[in-house]
Amino acid sequence: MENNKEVLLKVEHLEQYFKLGKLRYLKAVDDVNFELYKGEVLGLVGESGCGKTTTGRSIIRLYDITGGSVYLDGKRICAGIRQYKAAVKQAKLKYKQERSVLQEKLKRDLENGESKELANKAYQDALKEKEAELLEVVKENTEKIRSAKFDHKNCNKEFAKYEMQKVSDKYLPLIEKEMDEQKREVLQREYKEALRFAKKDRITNKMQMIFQDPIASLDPRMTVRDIIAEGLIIRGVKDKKFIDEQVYRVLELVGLVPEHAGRYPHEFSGGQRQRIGIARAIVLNPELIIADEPVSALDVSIQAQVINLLNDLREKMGLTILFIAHDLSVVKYFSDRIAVMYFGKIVELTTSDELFKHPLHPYTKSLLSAIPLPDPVYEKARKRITYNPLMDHDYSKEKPTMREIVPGHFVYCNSEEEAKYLEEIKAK
Amino acid sequence: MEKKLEVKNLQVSFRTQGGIVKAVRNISFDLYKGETLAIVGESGSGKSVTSKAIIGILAGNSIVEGGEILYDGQDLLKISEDDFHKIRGDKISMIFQDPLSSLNPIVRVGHQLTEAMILNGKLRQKSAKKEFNGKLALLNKALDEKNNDVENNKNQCHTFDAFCIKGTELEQAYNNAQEAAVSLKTELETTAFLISKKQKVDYRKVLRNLKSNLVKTINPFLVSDDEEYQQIQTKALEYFIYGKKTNPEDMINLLEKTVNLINKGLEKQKPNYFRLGYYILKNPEFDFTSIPVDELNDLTKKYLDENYMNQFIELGSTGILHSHEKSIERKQQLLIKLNDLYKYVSESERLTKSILENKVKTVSAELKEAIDYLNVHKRSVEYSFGISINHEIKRYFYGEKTNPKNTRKYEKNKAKYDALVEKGKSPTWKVVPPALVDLDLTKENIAKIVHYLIKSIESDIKHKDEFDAKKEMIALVDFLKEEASKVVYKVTKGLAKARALELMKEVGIPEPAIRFKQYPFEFSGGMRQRIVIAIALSANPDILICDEPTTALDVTIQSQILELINRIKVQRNLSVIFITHDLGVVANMADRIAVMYAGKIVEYGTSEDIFYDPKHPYTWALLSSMPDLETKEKLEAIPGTPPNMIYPPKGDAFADRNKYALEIDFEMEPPLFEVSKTHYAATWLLHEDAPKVNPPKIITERIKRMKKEVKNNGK
Repeated sequence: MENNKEVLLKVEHLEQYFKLGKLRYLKAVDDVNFELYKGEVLGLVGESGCGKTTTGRSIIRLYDITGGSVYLDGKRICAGIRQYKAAVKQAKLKYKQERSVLQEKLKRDLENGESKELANKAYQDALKEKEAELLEVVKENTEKIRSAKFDHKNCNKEFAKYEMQKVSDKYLPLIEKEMDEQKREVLQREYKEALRFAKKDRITNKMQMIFQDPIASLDPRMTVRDIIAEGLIIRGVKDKKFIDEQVYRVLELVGLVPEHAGRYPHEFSGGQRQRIGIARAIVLNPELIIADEPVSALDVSIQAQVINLLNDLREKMGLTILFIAHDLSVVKYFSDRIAVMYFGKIVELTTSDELFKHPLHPYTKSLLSAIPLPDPVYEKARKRITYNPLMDHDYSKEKPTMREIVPGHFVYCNSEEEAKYLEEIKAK
Repeated sequence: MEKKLEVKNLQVSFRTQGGIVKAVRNISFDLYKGETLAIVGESGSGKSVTSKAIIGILAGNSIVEGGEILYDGQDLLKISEDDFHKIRGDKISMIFQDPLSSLNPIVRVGHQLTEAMILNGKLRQKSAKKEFNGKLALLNKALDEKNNDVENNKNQCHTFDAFCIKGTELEQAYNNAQEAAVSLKTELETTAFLISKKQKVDYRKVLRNLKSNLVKTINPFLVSDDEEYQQIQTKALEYFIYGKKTNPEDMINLLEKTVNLINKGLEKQKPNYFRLGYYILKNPEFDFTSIPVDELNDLTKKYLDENYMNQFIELGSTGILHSHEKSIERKQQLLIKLNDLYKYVSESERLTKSILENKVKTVSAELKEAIDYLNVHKRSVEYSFGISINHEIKRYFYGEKTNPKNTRKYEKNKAKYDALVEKGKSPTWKVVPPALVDLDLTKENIAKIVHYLIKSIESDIKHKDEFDAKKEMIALVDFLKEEASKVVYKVTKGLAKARALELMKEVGIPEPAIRFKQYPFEFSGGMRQRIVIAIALSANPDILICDEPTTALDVTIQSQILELINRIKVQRNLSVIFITHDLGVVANMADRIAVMYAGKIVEYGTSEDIFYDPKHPYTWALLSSMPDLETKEKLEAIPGTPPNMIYPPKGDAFADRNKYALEIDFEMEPPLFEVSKTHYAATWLLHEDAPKVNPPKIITERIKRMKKEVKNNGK
């Protein structure tokens, strides 16, 4: 990808583990890294249960992540502490091993007939050195843990503080300059209102989510107006006229009529319900939208309506979208780049054209071979490729990592496979 | 091809608070043996209602206004619930859309899988016995009438009965042994694997299992009771006494030895038991293990053909010919009366009860005698005539049972409503009539039933010279063979479990033995769907209805399940009705496709017709609203929503959402125009006077591309 693009969302070593009884974990998301540039659509595909939805939900802080960090607009909004804890644990283990080595050395020295004092002293010195190393690591990591915890807890407060500072920077000089009493009072009132508004601002308001199931995600006891305005009210808007205006504006944006605002969700068809979900997501003018399978539960004809709507909104509002889906033809149509996930890991990440032209990872190949197309002759000849991680990879010698095969095309592989993939691309 | 299911003019409505919703409006289609018919459409187009009508699980507020669903000589819309029990699940089976709601949450999966197998097994045994004996007796009777050599005829039929059953009994013993062998083999292999990986295994349990199950595999053509077998048994006993102290390597050795023994047995060829049965009947002392299977097969074939089969077929075909001729003769006589009845029904304005009932009574009595019962393929129109027409007559003269309270309420409300309308107001509430019978429609239905019968009989008379008695006789023998195997086949609990485990493996569930004991909530969505498919297949149905089986699943599992259904369809020669809204899925599965909209079939053709040469604007819209891998331009979504079926639109139901709509579309419903022999579409665009319209650009380009690809691949 070109470097001059602005990074909106950055996900680093994201880990999300769920506890399964004592000492057992389900690694739903395991070491996921990607960057989302401003204005692009990243498709996240994979089979069910591979962690697509969990990734989305972790980013928007519906779960507290286990490890790694997520940056929105350069500010850390989620942080996990598992990796630091692991580092401390490893350092301690290393220290123990080294100590035992030293002890053995001491024993050997004594047997060889060295003087007791000298040997003891050498041992103590060496041990102190190691201890100091350990302490340093522990200190460093505890600091990191503290800062991660602080960021995770206080990112919204910090952002609000920052916004408040901005407001005061703007108003205070103005108020000081103003000589007229009355005008000054007005300004003061304005300043107070703006400050109150800024105090409730949150950095996480910049992200919003569209859920998979439009029926389950709308409260049946709230009218459409209540549903859409809820975010605004929490945000601190009190002006009812302004709220209504916003609701109508958004409803029109998503292709509904202002009259719909008074109705309840059950009075709408499936496609319209999904539109309400989208309206709720865009009312706060977010920069990033996480769309969690927004079209999977819809009919074909309505699917097309919703996809067209999302495309229009993207152009109008300059949205960045993380599009989670399992229908590959829709993802191909809608996304600029696609990340393929398999069992909590991203195995391939590249532009959508490149992915369909040169799929490299065997799982991607198997996924692409499973797409049904409206073409009987092709369908009858189509052969599904099965993916068996034990058969397809040999990771006994070298563990795989994310590698860039050609610029912008990342694959999860080891060096042996990297060479193979490179040849594959060149051959085509 | 043989017709498996015929749906004729089906009309289904639902009584709701807002009024009567017309869900299915007059659809007809046929389903042939071994083919897949896909029904495509939006939600609310009546796909699921059609399939539910076929399997007889329509909701309580449904009204079947007319039509017939003919299957195996029965009209599924009119038979009683008790009769339907014999068909549902056993002959016609269904995979439901939502796996969670179609499984019982408080019963273990294994029990749900085997339940139907055991119940149906007993029923099937009974009915097969009846069929087998009945058909043979009929043949005997026909032969008696034709040839006066009573003694010989009786003998011949009796012999057939005896050796057919004998052969199938032997075959059943072989099958049981084979099944036991296969399941034992897989079990031992997994245990050996576990032991080699140093897992905890209860040796005594394994050995007990081995000893008891190995006995079951003994069969002359499989595992014989020889030295090797004895060795294994004694060794197993020895280890059993040692218990836990047995060396793991010895254990693995023993298991591998047993697997080898079974493998050797399974490699042996299976003899033709049908012929063998006759040979053994004639030479009871013959030791058939002494010669190899190939020779045995040749020997028995020659023996059977020379001594019995050729004669029997000769003889039988004369009986069949006789029965056929007799039936044609009677049908010719019947035709006059039928025409008279048809004339009466279609021409008189109001039917009279006594006249009509008299006429129908004589006709159906004569029809019963005229049916050729020896024909293996039951012609549904003839068999179901009596029940269907009586059902309609009852409706015509007595009406549907209505609660008098409701009727009074309706009259009261109606008066109120009318008064309001007279004053010039437009009330917001509606008046819902209780189910009253539409007399004209019912009369039409009666006329249709008679008309179908006349047509079928006329075609019979027309083709009477083409009748091939010998072919029919061979078909009859095949039928009898099949029924005999059903008579002997007994489903025990153990057998049902073994088959269930096999099925679970077949549908791709790992570790079936553990999964067998679990509850539905312990499964993931894809696994649950697989269980539902396994249950649907457990009864070995004729017709499988799949109601959006893969909509809730992701791509990889979807394609696995589609492959599974396709494979099973080919293996068992199933007929499949596949309901979906995803055209991509259909392309893989379907031989023929019916596109439904607002309760009607708007286009109907083979899958090539629909995908490469679609004619109806709705099909265009469906095709263009889904992106494929090459699509770049804006998708053409279908505007609006499907019409409210309480007030079905006057003309073409799709006209409101159709940008190609002509003026006539808003006034008159288009008939089905024939595009080619297999391809029909209901749109005025196909009329001679209609302007020429090209399909949207997305589709034409896609078709062009697809055709090009086909050409390239062909080279």
